[in-house]
Amino acid sequence: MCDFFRISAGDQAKLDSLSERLRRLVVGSINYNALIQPGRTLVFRLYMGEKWQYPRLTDLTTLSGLLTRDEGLEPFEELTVTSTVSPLSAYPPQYFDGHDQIVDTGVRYLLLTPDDATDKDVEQKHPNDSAKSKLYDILELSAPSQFDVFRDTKRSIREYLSKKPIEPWIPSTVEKENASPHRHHPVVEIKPGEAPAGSPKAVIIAMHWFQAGGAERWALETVRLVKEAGLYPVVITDRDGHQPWINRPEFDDALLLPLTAPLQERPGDAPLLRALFEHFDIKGVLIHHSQWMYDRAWWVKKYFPQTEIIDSLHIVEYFFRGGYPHESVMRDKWIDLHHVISPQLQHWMVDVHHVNPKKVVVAPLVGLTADHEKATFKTRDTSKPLTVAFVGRMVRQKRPEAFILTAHALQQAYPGKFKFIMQGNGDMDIFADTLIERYGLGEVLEMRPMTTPVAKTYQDADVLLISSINEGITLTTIEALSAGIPVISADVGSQSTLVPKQGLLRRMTSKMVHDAKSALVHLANNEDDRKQLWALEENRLEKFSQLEPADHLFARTLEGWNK
Amino acid sequence: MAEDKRKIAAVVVTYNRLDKLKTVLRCMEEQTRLPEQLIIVNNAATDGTDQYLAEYKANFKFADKIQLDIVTLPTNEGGAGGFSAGMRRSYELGADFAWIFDDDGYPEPDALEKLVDGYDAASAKLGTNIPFACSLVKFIDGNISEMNNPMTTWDWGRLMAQGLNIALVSRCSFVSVLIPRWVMESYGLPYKEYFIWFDDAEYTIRITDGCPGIQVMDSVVLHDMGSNKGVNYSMIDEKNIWKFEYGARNEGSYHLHHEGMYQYLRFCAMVMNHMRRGGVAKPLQKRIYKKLIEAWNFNPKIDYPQVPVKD
Repeated sequence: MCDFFRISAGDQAKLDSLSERLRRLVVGSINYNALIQPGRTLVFRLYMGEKWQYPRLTDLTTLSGLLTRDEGLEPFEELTVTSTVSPLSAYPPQYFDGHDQIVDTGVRYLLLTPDDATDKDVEQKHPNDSAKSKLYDILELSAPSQFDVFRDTKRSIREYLSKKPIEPWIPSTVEKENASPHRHHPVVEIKPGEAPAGSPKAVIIAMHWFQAGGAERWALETVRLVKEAGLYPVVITDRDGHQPWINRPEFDDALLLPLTAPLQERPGDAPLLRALFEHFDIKGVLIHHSQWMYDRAWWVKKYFPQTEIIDSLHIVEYFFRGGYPHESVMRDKWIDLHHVISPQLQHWMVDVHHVNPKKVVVAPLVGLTADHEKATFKTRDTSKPLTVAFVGRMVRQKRPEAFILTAHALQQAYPGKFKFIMQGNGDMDIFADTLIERYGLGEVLEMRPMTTPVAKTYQDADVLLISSINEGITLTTIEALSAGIPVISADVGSQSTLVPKQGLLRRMTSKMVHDAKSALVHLANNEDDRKQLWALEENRLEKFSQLEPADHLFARTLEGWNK
Repeated sequence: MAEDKRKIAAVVVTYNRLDKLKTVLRCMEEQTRLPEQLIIVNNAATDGTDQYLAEYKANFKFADKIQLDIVTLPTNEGGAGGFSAGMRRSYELGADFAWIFDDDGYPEPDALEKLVDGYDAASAKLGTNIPFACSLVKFIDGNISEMNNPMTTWDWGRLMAQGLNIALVSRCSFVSVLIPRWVMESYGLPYKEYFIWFDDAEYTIRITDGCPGIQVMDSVVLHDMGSNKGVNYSMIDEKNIWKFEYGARNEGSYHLHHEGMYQYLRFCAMVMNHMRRGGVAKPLQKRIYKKLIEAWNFNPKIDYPQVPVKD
């Protein structure tokens, strides 16, 4: 592991006495500060916050003590640390936040959170209880199907907006900032030094957060691939969270920089990247849903044009005119390669937004969580009920209510002929429980927590039903097919790449429930068709897998970077 | 101990006080901690200063240690213009600090060394935002210089409580002031348009926006003024009114354009009271009122050293 600071044996012992998650969060903050404040000695005061807070590690409150000292908290530990960084350009420690000077007293007040804190703790403390939100929740709970008519209209409008031309992003260069009449003072460009020959070769992996998610699973895999290629992984995250994944073994021997915004930065400059580029021979940057890195891609290309930038895109969101793919198209000028995981995304990038087709590569994430090569159809005892599974986080994107409504419709029409399993947790747990109770599905619908091995659920299920309102290509589809069970899915994102027409369901909830009901009844009564559906899907997966898988593409690319 | 690589530029502004300037330069050469650069701003002096400086440069004894730079202004731009030009030059030469004073300020031999040590000691306690460090200014008889007392902050003794002989101050006059590069870059230069008076007060108020400055009591400078008196508007006479006119316009402008109408009117009332109480002649009072009105349309823009001067 590469650290950029000197610490006394006593303080090192204090650091080592922390849990691994806390230790990595603190070391991340220390390394960040050591990099942008070369040579300085800083005092780090560690405070334990509440479960409903998120750690504050690098933002301006760590300089002011606003959320710690000023709140009357007492530090549980104090460390004195000296940066061992030898800078190759100037790092003035004075920064401004708009027109206000950021006062730096040489102390960093870090707010940490208990290891068992979850997002749910935060949401429960800060519920969105505006009148609009309350009305939304009431309508969603009382008339989920009817309410979705309204929501689907919104989705269609947003889909339309996501297809409108995207203006290129204008970076915050020195020239642009100095032309603004609102600047506190004219900015001076600071050019980065170049890492000396023989500096360690590294790759920046910019992630959303250290937390479970499809994009994060792939990001984790790229960390492994970077190490395997003999390069040093520098992992940067920019999203608030408890960062439970930070202590995963995949991140051992990597430089971890969990950022919390806003940082000490000056327009036209990227002090953290500057410091990294002065220390490492950075061969490339991999972006996995990191807004911070997207916003600084121009800086990398301005000063280090030879450094390649690749982003991985998973899904076209309804919000923000496409979400990260939208951000990517805006910054296409500075990105060398867009890795997309589905043909739908490729179509959106190339055909809708006219990104150079040579820069867009579809590389599926097959093999990331399941091995489908040896997959065989899993037969079932037709005398027993057909078991339909839902696997995923209990969040609005996965639309658990549509699955429950399907279960309700089937149970009403064919009592005893179907069983249901819902595996997953999320902020809609209570919502799902309420609906299950309302429809009296307790006997036929089994809830399984995220901690249950997902393979067990596939083993117990006969069909996977994907009720999401949006997806790329779900990893669960690949997992289910690999486990020998067919998939029926809402026709969203790129699901149609793997699921044939007879397995696709219209998107709006009422229509989806209608289509799912008839498809499932048909599959329950026609085992051959269930097998045929799986075979068709498996065949499509096989074809899809003929494309170079993402891990091969990246392994090959990383090998090239290390030459 | 790590080598101190910081560059300090001593900036001396001079105008027609050649004898005093010679003393200043001698004091400079006697410093226990020599500045890396010496910038002498000749404010278009007419007393032979230019010839003297040409010779001084030709025979400069410290050429191997100090980078000497002489800036000759085409016209007398007053102390404000001189400090602005000298600080800009220090920035252009890459100085990390400008150490500024007039041609009648005589630093004691350890003045700069103490000032830098004080700045570092205070920074270790307060952090990286200290915008200036000034010396203790004495009259040549050893008493405090009446017109060069910095204004202290409410918590002026904070560092003293921690064992440092340093006070926290919110403004000071330009007699031995150490100003870091980042301050010049972030807050700009003194208003050259002020010409004389209130340029130092305005500038030090401006740069203490985020953190107070410090007065290092062990760093001493002697101020060789004619007489050791403070100044106020009751002291106006025919001879000195030209300075008070600048003062009224500059300070009036500052209050009006940076603090608002209330502070401006308060200032006007204070000037009026002082002049009445001092029995200042009516025609002279009238001239001062004209300057207070002139302040309405006098609001110079900040010059930044990183932005080149337009021809």
